Amino acid sequence: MKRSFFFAATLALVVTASVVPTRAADKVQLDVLIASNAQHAFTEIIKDYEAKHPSVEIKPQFLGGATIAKMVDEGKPADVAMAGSTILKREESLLEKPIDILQNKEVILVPKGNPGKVTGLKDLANPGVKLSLGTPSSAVGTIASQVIQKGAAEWGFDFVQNVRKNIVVQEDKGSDVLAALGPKADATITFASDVDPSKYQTIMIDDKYNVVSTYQIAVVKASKNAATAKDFADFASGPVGLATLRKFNYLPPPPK
Amino acid sequence: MSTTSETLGTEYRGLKNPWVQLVAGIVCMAMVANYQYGWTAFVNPMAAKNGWGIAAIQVSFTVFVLVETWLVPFEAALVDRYGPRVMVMIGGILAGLAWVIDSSATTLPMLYIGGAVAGVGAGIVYGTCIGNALKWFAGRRGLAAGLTSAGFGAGAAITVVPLTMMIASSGYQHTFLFFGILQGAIIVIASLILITPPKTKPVDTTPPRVLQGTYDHSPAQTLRSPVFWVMYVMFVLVAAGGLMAVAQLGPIAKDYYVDTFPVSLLGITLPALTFALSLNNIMNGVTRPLLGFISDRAGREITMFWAFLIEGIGILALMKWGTTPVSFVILSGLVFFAWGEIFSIFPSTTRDHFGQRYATTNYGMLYTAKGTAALIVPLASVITAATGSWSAALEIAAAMNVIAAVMAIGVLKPVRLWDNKQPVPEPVVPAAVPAS
Repeated sequence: MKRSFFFAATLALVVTASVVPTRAADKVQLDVLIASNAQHAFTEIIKDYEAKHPSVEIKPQFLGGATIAKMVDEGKPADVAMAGSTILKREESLLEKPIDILQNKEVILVPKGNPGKVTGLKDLANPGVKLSLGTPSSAVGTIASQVIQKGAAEWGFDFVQNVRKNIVVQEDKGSDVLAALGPKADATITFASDVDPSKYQTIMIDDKYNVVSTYQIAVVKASKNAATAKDFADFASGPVGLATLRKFNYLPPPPK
Repeated sequence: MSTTSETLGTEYRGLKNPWVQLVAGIVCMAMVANYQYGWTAFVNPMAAKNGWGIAAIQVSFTVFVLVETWLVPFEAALVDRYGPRVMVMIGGILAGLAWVIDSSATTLPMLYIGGAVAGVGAGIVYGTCIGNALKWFAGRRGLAAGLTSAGFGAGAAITVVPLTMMIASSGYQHTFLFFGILQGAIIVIASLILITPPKTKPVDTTPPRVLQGTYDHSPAQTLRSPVFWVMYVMFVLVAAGGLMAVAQLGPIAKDYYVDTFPVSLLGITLPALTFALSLNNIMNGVTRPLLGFISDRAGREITMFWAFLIEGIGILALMKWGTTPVSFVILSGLVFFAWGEIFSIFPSTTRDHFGQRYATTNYGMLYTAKGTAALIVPLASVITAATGSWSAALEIAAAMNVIAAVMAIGVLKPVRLWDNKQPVPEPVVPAAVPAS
C-alpha cells in the first residue's frame, strides 16, 4: 500500500513538473507598442483580451509616436504598433495594412469654478489667464500649437503672442500638463480623451480651429506571432475595443 | 580686366575659353547634385519595395557623405597630377555606376556599396570642378567658385520634379537606372571639355584688394602653413555654426508657434517653417556667387568678416525677434544668406594663398573641414538636451561665427602677411604633368 502510494505520488509529481512548465512555455507573448495618450484605454483593452485569451500574455509599452516609429524602423521586438496615422505611414513598409481605430480632437479644460473665466479659445489670450501647455516637441503641445495658430489666422498673430505670454507651465507629459491645472494654471488645451468631469470643466473648441488626429493599429510584418497579433489588433479595433475607447472619450474612427 | 571673347587672346579661344570651362564644370556639378539632394525621394519607395527600415536605408547616405567628403584630398591629388578631364570622366562613370548598382540592389550591403561608389564619383567631380574653376580665373575666383558650387544646388532644383515623377510612374529602380546612366553620360561628355589652363599667362589679373601668396605650395607645405590651419578652424566654426542653426530651425518655429502659420511674401504663401526651409536652398544658391563676386572686388578677409558677423548677428536676431511668422522667415533667410558663401570664399582664398599648381589638392584638404564640422553638430543636440532649450546651442553657434569673423581680420590676414614674408622654400615636389 505504502509502495503504491509512493509510486502514485512520484508519478503525479513528475507529470505536474512536466506539464506546468510546458503550459508556461506555450503561452504566447505579444510585444505591443501603444501611443502613450491611449494608455488608460489600452490597459483596459489588454486586460479584457487576456481574460478571454488566457494563453496570451501581452507586454505593452506606452511610448511617444516618434519612439514607436523608431523602434519599428530599427526592428526592435514588436508585434503590434498603435499610433497616429502619420507616424505609422512613415513605417508602412514594415507594417501590415493599418486599421483606423480612433480619432482624437482638442478641448479646453479648466479647473472647476473656472477661475480664469475662459469661455472659448479666444479667451486664452486674455491678460491674467494662466496656461499649462505641452512643450512644442510633445504630442499634446504640437497639436495645441496648431490650434492656437489656426486661431491666429482669424484674430491676427497678436493672439499667439498674447497666448504665449500667458503660459506659466510647459511640460512634456500630458499628465504633468493636467496636474498643473488648478494649483498653477487656469486652463489647458488637451486631447478630448483627457476629459474628466469629476476634476475639470470642459470647453469645446470650434471645429474650424480644431485638429482631428486619427490613430491606427497595425501588425508588425516581422512579428513572430502574426496570427495572435492580428487577433489582438482585430479585437482592439472591434466592438469590444471601440466600446472601451468610447468610454475614455475617444471619437470613433472615420467612416470607411 | 575683362574676359569677354573680344579681349581674350587666341590662346584662350574655344575650349580654352575660361567661361566654357566654367559652364562645363557647372554642368558636371549639376549632374552630381541628385546624389545629395535627390536621394530623399528614393527612400520611401525603397523601404516599401524591400521592407527595409528607413534608418537602415539612410546608412547608405551617410556612407556617401563620409566618402564624398573625406576622400576629396586624395582624389584632388590625382586631379592635380593627371588633369581634370580623365578624373571627371572616371567620376562620371562611377557616379553613373553607383545608381545602376542601387537600381538592382536587393540587399542593404549592396546599397551601401552603391553609396560608397557614389561618394567616390561625386567627390571627384566636386573637387575637380571647384579646383578647375579656381585655376581658370585669377580676377574672378570667388565668382567662379561660387557659380560652380551653386551648380550643385541648381542641378537638384532642375531635376527634382522629373525625378520624382518618374519614381511615381515607373518605380524607383527604373529611375535609378535611367538617371544614373543619364547623369553619368552627361558628366563623361562634359569632361571632354575640361582642361587645365595654359601656363603662358593668366587670363585676367588678380584684383588689387585680394591678397596673394608668393609661391605654389605643395600639399605638404600647405599642411605646414599656419594659414591653412587658421582657415581650417574658421571653416569648421562657420560650417558647424550654420549647420547647428539649420538643425534648430524647426524647434525655434515650434517654440514661437509660427511653424504652421501661413506667410505671404513675394506672391508666395507657405507655412512659415516650410517657407524658411525653401528660402534656405534659394539663399544658399544666391549667396555663393554673389559674395564670391564681392570678395573678388573688396578682398577675401573683409568679406568674410562681414558675412560671418552678419551670420552671428542674424542667429541672435532670429532668437530674439523671429517671434512673428514674417520676421522668422526673413531672419532665417538672412542667416542662410550669410552662411552659404563659405563654399566660394574659402576655395578662392585657398587658391589665392597657396597658388595654382596644387589648388585642387589644397582645397580638397580644406574641404574636409566640412566633414569635421558635421561631426561637431551633434553636440548641439547634447547641449539642447542638457539645457532643455535650443537657445544655448544657438548662442554658441552665433559666437562661433563672431569668433570666425574676428579671426578673418584679426588673425587670418596678419598671418597671411607674415607668411608672405617668409623665404620661399626650395622646390621639393616634382612639377605636375601638364594635362590636356
